[in-house]
Amino acid sequence: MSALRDLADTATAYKNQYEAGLMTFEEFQELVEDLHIQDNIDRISSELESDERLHEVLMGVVKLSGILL
Amino acid sequence: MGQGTKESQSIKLYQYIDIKPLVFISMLILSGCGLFVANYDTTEYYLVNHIRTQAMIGNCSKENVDTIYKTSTELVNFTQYLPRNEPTHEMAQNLHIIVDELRKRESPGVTYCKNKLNIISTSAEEIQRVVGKKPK
Repeated sequence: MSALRDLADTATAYKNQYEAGLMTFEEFQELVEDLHIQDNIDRISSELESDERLHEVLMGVVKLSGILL
Repeated sequence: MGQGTKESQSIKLYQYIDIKPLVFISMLILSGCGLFVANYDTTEYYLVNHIRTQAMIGNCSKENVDTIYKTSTELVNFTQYLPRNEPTHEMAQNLHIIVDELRKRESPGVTYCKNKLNIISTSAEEIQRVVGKKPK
């Protein structure tokens, strides 16, 4: 949720810069498109982290049970 | 007669040397050495960190952008054929797309270029965070 808010804030900053004439429309468009890629990286990283957390939980249970893998 | 005495002496010697503490100490030393080996992929981590740092401190010069592009290409290639590494490779590819867009642009505006370097740095930081936690 926080990552999404960050992306929204960044998009607003781009819009303001474009409206202030600091960027061409083409540049503005490309930067907004990059936000989608950034969002994608955030998604993959959070998926990997949830895998890691799941692994830690499982290892914790295995350790507690005294089973040797 | 003499040989028999030697054998009985060596048997007696083994009786006095307790081998268990030696085995325990050896295991301790070996596991201790393991503590100093990173459990994440240091090459991946180094490459992502290099991209992030170059994007953070570097300017929009062609030389700097080319350096980032070269390291980004290395990262994509390095992550490609490692087993169970598809998500990292996908992230590396995504980052490379952004870097490539900047490199391809003929004369980028200052605002655009700064934003682009900021995106590269933020994305690389996110990848670095994940690579640092990911076991080898």
